Amino acid sequence: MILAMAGNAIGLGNFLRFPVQAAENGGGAFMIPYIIAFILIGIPLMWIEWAMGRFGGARGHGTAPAVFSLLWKSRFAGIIGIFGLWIPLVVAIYYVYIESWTLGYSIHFLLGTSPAIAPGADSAKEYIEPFSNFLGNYIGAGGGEILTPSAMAIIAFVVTLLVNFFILLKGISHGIERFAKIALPALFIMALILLVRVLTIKTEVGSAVEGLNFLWTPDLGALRNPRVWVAAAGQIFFTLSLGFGAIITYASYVRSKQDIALSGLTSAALNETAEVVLGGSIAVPAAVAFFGIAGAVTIAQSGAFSLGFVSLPAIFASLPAGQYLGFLWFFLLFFAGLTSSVAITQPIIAFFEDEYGLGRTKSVLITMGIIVVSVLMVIFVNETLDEWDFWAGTIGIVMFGLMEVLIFMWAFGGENAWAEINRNGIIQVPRFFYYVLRYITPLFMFILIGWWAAELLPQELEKSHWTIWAARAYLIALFIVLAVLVLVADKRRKEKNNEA
Amino acid sequence: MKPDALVFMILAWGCALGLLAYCIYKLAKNPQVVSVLTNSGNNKKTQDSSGNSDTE
Repeated sequence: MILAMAGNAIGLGNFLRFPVQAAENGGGAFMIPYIIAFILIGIPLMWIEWAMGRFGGARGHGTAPAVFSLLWKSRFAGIIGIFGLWIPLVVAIYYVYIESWTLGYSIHFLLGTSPAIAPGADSAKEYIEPFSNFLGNYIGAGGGEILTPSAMAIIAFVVTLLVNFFILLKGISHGIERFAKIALPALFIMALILLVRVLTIKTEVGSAVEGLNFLWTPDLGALRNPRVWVAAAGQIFFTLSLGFGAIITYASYVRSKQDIALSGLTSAALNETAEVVLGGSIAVPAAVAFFGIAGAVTIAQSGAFSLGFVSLPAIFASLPAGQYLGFLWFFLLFFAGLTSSVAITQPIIAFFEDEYGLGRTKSVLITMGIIVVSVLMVIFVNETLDEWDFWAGTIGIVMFGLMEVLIFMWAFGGENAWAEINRNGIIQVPRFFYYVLRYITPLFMFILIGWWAAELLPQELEKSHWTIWAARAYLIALFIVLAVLVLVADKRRKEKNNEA
Repeated sequence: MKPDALVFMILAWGCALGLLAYCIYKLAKNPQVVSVLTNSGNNKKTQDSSGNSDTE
């Protein structure tokens, strides 16, 4: 159970997003707001989602619309709850595709069909150019509106989809939980092997130890910059998979007499270990060792994707046995992605099972059908992925997280919520967290949303290309379909209650 | 490594590993928490993966 939850949280963000955020936002000093955000947002929301899930599961419901309606007797509860299906569905659609890139890349490395370093390259830009072109060819980004992905991209996607399908088809305990028991230890072993190899890299340009210096040297002046605090809070949200509705669904399968306080804390601790210890010690130190600090800064500024899919392959390609290191790196990412994708797909499957009484196979088939149809937009229409990530995977999760706090700690009642979190707890959550949950967490999240709205929304709304509007229209259509399904399910439930 | 970088790295690693160690210690003392999930909601289907009944 704990491994399945940790697998949900440990994803591509631990190994790619965290080191980039830390490097860009004050290095070691980033850890101060990061730890504060972990205590004030991460752990509290983790407990809230676990408690909501166990509460709903004990009453036969494992998804946000029904769980919110149980907690808050208001017609708005179910409507807000629709976001708890929409967000994981939208994210699952594009996440499975990104996850498939890691599989495709691992196959390329294993077969030796990944690019080689350009002869005579002597700058970071020249080193990574073949790998940048390779990524462009892989996803078929030629600068046009329609993407033409490579055969490997399609094959890897189909295989990834099938792997997800079979794990989900096997169910919670036989599929997801059993897979997590294998995948999580395997992921930690692969990461440890890479960590040991990376920390021994020494080139004429630099060493991995210099990379650790670069990543961890504190720039305390950065703490005066509110952007650093917002970045830390955002990272905590992404890394713990908060606001996706997936934790609520997983926790609905926890027995009602079982602890959630210690279980929630343990899954968060496992994720933080994977992120801070392993995630922080592979990508950026390797980049500094190979490209020097200036090169690594340029790479970090170009984002997590560039670091993972362009720079790291270039580095591995230059090392002895780099073919196998590259394979290991992408297979590690594939496992990290897989444990997360099965988790974010589960809410919609649970919705069909719980609210429509469909069997597992039918529910998985319908969900996969929606994903297969919808992913065509992501695969073939340029900018769809970024657009969906912005609305669902960035703004959406924080908005939904705020709604969770308000519904649980205010609409359901602070003392009721507190009792639910601590019910059958192996550890007693310190009372200090009651005040954090009720006042500080929502306030922190209001600030986060306000900051992002002011900073990101104006840029976002300036975009007006037809591909952007097509992506937005599809998101709205998906929401309407889910809203209809939720309303029909709600009506069925009321009719059933009246009959009873 | 530079001393200040080392201090912050140890602080970060220490927090993560310390919290994990605390959780593992507590779990080891209470192994009943480490159990399988019920297959379809804890109040509906009543069998876990080992076939044990979980009816409430």
